[in-house]
Amino acid sequence: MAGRRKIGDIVANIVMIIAILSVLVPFYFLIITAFKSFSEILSVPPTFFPKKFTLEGYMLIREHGGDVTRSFINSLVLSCGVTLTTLFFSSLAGYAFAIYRFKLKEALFIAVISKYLLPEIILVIPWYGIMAKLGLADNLFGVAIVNLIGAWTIYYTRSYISQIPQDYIDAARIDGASEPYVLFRIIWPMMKPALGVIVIMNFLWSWNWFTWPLVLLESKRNFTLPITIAFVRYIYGGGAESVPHWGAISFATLIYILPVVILYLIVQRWFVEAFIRTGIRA
Amino acid sequence: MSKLHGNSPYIIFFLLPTVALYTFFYYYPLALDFYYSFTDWDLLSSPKFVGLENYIKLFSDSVFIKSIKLTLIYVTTVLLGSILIGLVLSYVMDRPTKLAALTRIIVFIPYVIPDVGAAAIWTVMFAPGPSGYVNYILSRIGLGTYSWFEDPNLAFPMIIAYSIWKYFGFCTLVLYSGMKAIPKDYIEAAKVDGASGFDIYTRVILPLLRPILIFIISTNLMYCWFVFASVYTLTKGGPGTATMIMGMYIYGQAFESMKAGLATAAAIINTAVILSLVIFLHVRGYKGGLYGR
Repeated sequence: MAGRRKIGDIVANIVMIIAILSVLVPFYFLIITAFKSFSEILSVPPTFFPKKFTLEGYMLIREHGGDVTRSFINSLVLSCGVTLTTLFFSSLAGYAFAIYRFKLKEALFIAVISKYLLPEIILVIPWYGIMAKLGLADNLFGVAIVNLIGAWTIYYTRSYISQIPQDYIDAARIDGASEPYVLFRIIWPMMKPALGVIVIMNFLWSWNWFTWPLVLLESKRNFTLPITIAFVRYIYGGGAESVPHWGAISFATLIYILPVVILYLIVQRWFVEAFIRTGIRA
Repeated sequence: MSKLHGNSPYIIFFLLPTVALYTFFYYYPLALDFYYSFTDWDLLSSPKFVGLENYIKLFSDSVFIKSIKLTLIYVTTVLLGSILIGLVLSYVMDRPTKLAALTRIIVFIPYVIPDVGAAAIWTVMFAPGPSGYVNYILSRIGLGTYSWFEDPNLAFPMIIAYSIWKYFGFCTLVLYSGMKAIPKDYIEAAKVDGASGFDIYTRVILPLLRPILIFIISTNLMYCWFVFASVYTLTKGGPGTATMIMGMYIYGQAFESMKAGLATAAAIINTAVILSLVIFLHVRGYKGGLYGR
């Protein structure tokens, strides 16, 4: 009996170690490739630790007109912008849907949050036509504007505010508080964990955002990081064997995912909770 | 309860931004979609009305048919594969060791990082030729070198393998939290009745996890069906049309072949089918008491 148990433990440990390695090993390859020189990347056999640390990847992207620093800033501006507007406007809408009673409320609510169920690709084609007419093609603001107010966030704030006892709101109103005061000074402080989830989710989601920026953005100076990575992925190096610039791809990718991984490791428990509870994907 | 009349200015003030934005960037585009799907439109000139032609063309387009088949295979194998790994791993890591705690942190990382980043990592790891990391390791143990994402026969299985790697952490942790929620008495009772560990798992735990499985499938179905960013980064649908799954097909028709009318028709058909499936699963989920909180 004890023997069988021990074998079970060993098998379990082996399975877990394989799972951990399947995640960590690819990351290790990425990190070392990001700092190798181009000739070292193509050497046979491959090196498993860079002989010399270089920033050739970064320079290569510059040579092809891309710019990782600029893309990083673009991504940051886009993600922070969309997160902040969503936080504000979705709170307003979520509050209205949670607290007020009015005709056709449920119908309007479903009409709004159904956007979350649809795939983006179905909206991207008409969006493109609209933006071309508005003169917002190749414009970061044109990317952001279609998603300034997140459907999932409205749904989430509504369900969160619905759980707050009505007494708090009534008491504040009797004291003469205005409705915006109730929302931002009484409800918001009470829903700090939810606001954290909203900020993380919306930030990750915009950081990941790909299809629409890919369609709308044309000049490399306006690219966000994922678009720059996709662009670098399909630059083929010169020479007899035309291969992608693995070093450049790795460098841009490292800059792209590092903030997410660090953020995840810091607030790990929170992350998992938020993802699992909501089933939302980044 | 709030009175409607006293607050009505605020209802309008609070909802107006949302209603305005959603009218202009959600319902108006959706209406345009239906219009475009009956037109021949190259994204630049004005659309020409062609009736049902796009819908008829689609079903005689061998690439569209292939795309449906590939997408069906992709969705079923990816969901099944990551759920199976999730079932094994969530069971295995349900123990109070440090290694188990570490596993719970690490396996979630592929799911958290952005698609394009995760896909780029795989392209580097599976670089073709003898200088690729995986190729080198395989050739050292005598298994040869491969072109992976550039091989027409390997590219599609590789995309499936990549996607399972991307999702298994999510399935694992969702199933793990589901298992944690099962009352201990159920398992104790089965033990008292003399059930073996395997019996307890298949007869007690697994049936109780059923609603969780429905949850995983229904929340990921739409995303998997239209998976795009990863495929674009890995293969762009190639080589040839070897990995032309639905998201890639629609994007390619619209923005590379400039057949936006055809692309909207394809998008509408696919969305309608998958959306009904998702709603069906959700309704079933409710019946099973999934959201019984």
